Amino acid sequence: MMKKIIFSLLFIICLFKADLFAQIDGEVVKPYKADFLLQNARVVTVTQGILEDTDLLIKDGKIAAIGQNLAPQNYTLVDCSGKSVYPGFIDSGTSLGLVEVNSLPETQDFMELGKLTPQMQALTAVNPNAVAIPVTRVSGVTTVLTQPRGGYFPGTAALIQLNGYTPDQMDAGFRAVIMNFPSAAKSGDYDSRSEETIQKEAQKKRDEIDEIWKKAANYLSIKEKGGQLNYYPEMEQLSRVLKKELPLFIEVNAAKDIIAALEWVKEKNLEVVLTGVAEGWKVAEKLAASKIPVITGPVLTLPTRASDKYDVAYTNAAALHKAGVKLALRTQDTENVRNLPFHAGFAAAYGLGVEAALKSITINAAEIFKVDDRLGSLEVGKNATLFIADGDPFEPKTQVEQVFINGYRIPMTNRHIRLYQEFLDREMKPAE
Amino acid sequence: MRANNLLSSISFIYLCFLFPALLFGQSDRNGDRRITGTYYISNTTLIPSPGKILTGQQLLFENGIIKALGKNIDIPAEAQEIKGDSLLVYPGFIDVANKTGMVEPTIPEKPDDFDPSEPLPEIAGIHPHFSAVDHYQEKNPHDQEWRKLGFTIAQKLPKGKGMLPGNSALVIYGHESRNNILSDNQSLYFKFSTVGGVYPNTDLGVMAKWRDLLQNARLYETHGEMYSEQSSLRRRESNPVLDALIPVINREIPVLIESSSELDIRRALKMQEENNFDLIITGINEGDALLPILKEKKTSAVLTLDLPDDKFSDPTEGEKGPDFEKRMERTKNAYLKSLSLAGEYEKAGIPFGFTTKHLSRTDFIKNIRLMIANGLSEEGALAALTVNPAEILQISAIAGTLSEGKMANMVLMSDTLFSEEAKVVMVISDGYLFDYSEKAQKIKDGASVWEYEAETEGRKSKGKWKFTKEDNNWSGTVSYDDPQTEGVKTSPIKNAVITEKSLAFTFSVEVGENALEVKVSGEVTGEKFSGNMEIKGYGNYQVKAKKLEKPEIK
Amino acid sequence: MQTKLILSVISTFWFIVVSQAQEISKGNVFIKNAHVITITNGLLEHTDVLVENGIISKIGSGLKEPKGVPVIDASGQFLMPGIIDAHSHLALEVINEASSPITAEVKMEDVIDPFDVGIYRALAGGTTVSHAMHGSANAIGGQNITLKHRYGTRDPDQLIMKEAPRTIKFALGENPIRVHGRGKNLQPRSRMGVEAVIRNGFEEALQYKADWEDWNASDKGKEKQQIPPVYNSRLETLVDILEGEIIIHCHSYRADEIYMLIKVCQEYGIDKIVFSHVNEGFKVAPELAKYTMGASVFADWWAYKFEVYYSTAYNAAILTKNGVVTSINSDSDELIRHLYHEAAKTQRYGGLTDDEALALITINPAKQLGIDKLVGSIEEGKQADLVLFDMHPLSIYAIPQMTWVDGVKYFDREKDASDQRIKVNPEETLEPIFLHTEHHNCMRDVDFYFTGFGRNLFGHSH
Repeated sequence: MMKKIIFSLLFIICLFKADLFAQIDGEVVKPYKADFLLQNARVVTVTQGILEDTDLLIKDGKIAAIGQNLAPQNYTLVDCSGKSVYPGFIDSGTSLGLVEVNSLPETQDFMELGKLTPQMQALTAVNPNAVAIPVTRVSGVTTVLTQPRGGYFPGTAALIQLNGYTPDQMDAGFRAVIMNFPSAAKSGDYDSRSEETIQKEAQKKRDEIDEIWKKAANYLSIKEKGGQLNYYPEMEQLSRVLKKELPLFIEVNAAKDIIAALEWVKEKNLEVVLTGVAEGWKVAEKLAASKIPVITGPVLTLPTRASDKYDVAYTNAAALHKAGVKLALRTQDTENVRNLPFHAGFAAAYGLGVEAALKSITINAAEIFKVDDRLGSLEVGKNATLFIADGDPFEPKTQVEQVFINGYRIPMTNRHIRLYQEFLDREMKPAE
Repeated sequence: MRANNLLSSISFIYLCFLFPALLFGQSDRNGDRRITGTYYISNTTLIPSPGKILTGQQLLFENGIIKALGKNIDIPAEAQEIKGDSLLVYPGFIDVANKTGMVEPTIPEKPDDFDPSEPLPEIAGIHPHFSAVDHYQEKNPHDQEWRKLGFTIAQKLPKGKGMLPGNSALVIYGHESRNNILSDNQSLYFKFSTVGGVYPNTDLGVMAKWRDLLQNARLYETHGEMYSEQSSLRRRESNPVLDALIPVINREIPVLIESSSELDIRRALKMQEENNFDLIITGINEGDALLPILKEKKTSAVLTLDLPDDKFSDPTEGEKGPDFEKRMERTKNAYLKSLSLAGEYEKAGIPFGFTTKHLSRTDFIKNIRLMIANGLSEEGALAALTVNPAEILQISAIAGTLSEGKMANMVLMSDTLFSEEAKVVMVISDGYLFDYSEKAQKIKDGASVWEYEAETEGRKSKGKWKFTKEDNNWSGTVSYDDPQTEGVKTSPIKNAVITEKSLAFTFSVEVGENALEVKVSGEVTGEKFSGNMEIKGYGNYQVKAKKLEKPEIK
Repeated sequence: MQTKLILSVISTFWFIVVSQAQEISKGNVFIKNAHVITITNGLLEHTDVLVENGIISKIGSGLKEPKGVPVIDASGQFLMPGIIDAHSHLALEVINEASSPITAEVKMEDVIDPFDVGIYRALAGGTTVSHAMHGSANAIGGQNITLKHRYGTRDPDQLIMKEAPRTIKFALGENPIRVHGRGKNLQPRSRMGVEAVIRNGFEEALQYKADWEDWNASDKGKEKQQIPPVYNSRLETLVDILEGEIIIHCHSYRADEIYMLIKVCQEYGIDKIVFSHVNEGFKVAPELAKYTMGASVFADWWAYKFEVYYSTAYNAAILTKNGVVTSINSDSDELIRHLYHEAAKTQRYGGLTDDEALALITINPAKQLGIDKLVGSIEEGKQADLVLFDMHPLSIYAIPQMTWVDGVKYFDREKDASDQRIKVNPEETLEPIFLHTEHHNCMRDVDFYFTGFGRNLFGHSH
């Protein structure tokens, strides 16, 4: 018992104090891999309930064991008394790694020229040293979908984990082709087009997409017949969607566009996820009936219409969930992906409930991305991508004390924290 | 003081009138001259002012002035008769604040080292010294068209993009041979708008600039007074902008502020409160909540005749659901409210005029009827076209009613004004006769008139198609907004093919030296047409049209 | 007797007419048994608050229920002062008069839009006062206006908090440089130029003041040997700043530019200055504490432009702990709906206490706007701007239930209905849809100057 107390004291002093507040000049703080035994934690498994006073063993980057009183052996012990362990949170839609400074075109890598660029790979442009990455992961958000934007088919999104020196090390093993469904909604106050014009323009764009789609199908059928084809990477990538090797993520927000997108999808045998879905609450039943999963968010945003109830953006997730839609959340952010738990918290407060909100940023996302064998919950055999917090991680007051990604212990620092350390008191105090 | 000025300038114009066309030995080789300028309308019904009806009347006018009216008046031998049986005679309409016939003033070029934060006033749209008179084309066709509808006097606003385009003028829609300017510098025209890209760039700058201008006009006047008494002072440099504002601060002329929203009206009232000038607000399209304030302040109000589009009689397929229905209900109520605005003003006891600015001529009577159907009385509507604007424009002494000594401006109607059957038979303006009576004409077999609406590049255009059939061939005209000026043009219809279910034709539009070929085709279902308009080289646009129940004959 | 009755009827009627025309509506309410977060006097459990005629008249436990006053049973709920946003562009028709590097003469009170449904949404987030500011296009922008969210009125004047002192917007760094230096070839083109423009403005104002003093001092009447100076409300306003009649709220990000303006203000004897956004304020926290009325910051915004790249979410905590009067502002029609949550973030980033965190959105912004004697805390005699939460407002799960301004309830979640628009466009059958990327911001109305370069269509551009 005594040993335990000393250990925990040591842990607190070494792990937290050392990392948070006393970086030695010239010291390089970086993630490292070891076998960690998290002891006496409240383990929030997500899929198998909450386990009190439970140990969790991290070995070879995996969750090797979950149980009470696991043997300490030579593991690095982490006392988690009074703490909770959660699976790493997953943000299902961001630009993280693709943008450094939002207003500087030199640092924007999320958009290519052209409306048909499905083969553009987000993962290629992810900067593993983006300053926003360590800023994000200390909040417990460990995994994000980072995606290109613009055009009809802006490119291919990638699921990344927020640790690694190369894009491949960050690759969490999921890709999706993004499609922007042309909107027949009046966009903003300055859209002076008439209803007919809006409808016609949207139809024209949808017709164009249908043409592209036919072309891709044609490409695929020739290819499958073994015909000679010229290098055509756009069609090659779309044909993978047609073959269901890659899912299609369709960005669509206005209610009538959602319905049109559901119609569009109906005729095609594809693996589809709808994203955005800001007005999903208006057509929740239809969405549920389609059985298509939805990635919605941001939650902390304005209603889409002036006449909407003030809280529709907060309650949208709850409405979809109640209708039976499989749901994941996103921030659609870059530098503030760290707010994902707060978006989930708001959704929880406004009707989604804590459990469903938690699932929407863990296991549901993992299932949608087909990585639920590795991520999304605390289960033996899954990746050791998790974090320790001193309370409910949706609550701002809660501190996330330690993050592990694939078994790597993540240094709990970043530029924000270092600036805090330097400037909290500008005058250096002599060491006591 | 102002009224005196106005009267003296008017009497000057009338002096010229008494000695028409000095001939210097030439004969009237084309027979243009009138035999006399004296006419009388016999045995007619007079509506001398709103609410009064006098039957079996005679009205005598001479050289543009009403000399007498009544049952038994002396008719001089030289008076020519206008048969007034079965006609109703109304005072000529007065339009406040329109821009038809106005041309853009020339603005100085921006210098090479142009500083947008301190532009020349003219470049910033601040040229209150520009006079509408200098930019008015008296013989423009638009005003002649408006005269056909009964308008005889109008206030002309200068064109210009910025906040102070100039001062307004009063004109008569009179005979082309006359000088039809009634008065200039009649009011200072102000609007909440900017040239863009220079100071002032928004309403924020406009409000601030206005305050500075008025304050400096006062100082400028003080300086002028000081200098005139004391020549040892630094001279006052002439500043035409400030010169033009001095009559405003001395309340010799009103400021005519154009509004496009309730908040504009509130801003106008605030401006007046700050600087205490005489205020006319024109273009009023909303703001029933402001009625008590407007009444209390006795603000001159001019309502726009340009009503919102009716999107409800023929609703498009929209979203469904309770939210949608509820929202549409509110939108519709807002629409109905704008139709009833004039009626609300009347009920509140605020005398108001009308402006035709932005109004398509085809909507004039239609919109007044809509207002009447939504609460405005017919007397109120007539007042808004006659006595009220005369009062607002301070010309009640010469216009607004039919009475002795006033200008001979009147509208002769075939039926009660605003009734469905009523036609303008004749307009008398400045004592000149403009005969619009219809020559007897039968509706030809199959002849039809359609009202269409097309959308081109985000702009809506409206007009009419008139078809007639002769020897089994269709012909007719299409009317449309002139792409170059504000008026309406017509072109002949060519290659028309009309069946029960379809309609197609072509016409050409002249734009400068070029001619655009336009092809219209589409389907007819009952009284409705829906189709496509192809402008060669430009694209395809949607067209909708409605068949009018009874073709108009002109 | 009869006369008396008639007189009283007349006087009542008169009162109603007058109050409709002029008076701001003020309410009475008795809020019973709440956890009262006073801000200035800690948390009072099971406490009643009586509001009479728009003013908090009594705070205590077991107060007697007054007659004829609506009673709210707030058992288990948290009552806090209405949230105050020291930097907002809500309810404005226009934000920037971007045509000149100095536009001190323009007044936001001229362009208040009472029909902005965002006001209702802000109320639903507990925000009762906002500082409606000019944008950040100019080194010296326009005069701001402090609004009380009395939603429902059509009269812009009814939204104005009449007691609030005058304030003005200044802006340093990228925005004025971009608009004028790059957009129009006018100074400032650099941070050097920003300082020069402000100094030039102040010097011109001093000269202007002297000219007017000469004119006013010279003999009246015919003997006057001077000609009247030109009136210039721009310089007039700058004179008022120099005379301490106007509080400067300065859009700023980098430490160097903040430091620059502190020095300039010191030189001209100006101490009424608040720095806004002030992302690098943490680097000059001691100077901000000593020479200014404080800093109004974002909880966590950063990296949307280069001058906020070296930011930290711990800014508010560092500033607070260095004794700077600190507030958290929205600068957004979205954030203004959950400033309580933004304040809560300072507990994650820097561990502020509940009182410290809530002061950031109540009494501190009130101080920065010069209205802390009237609002910003629950104290007897203060204006009854209140918000009732179902849970502690710093919890992520807290939902504002009711919001009062001057004792009048403007929001009640129970009775909330959709479509709170006051004004409806009679032609709008197809409702426009606003997606995430289209929020209001500091740089609205300057597009004119940016056709063709460097405008980012996606992110924030504050």
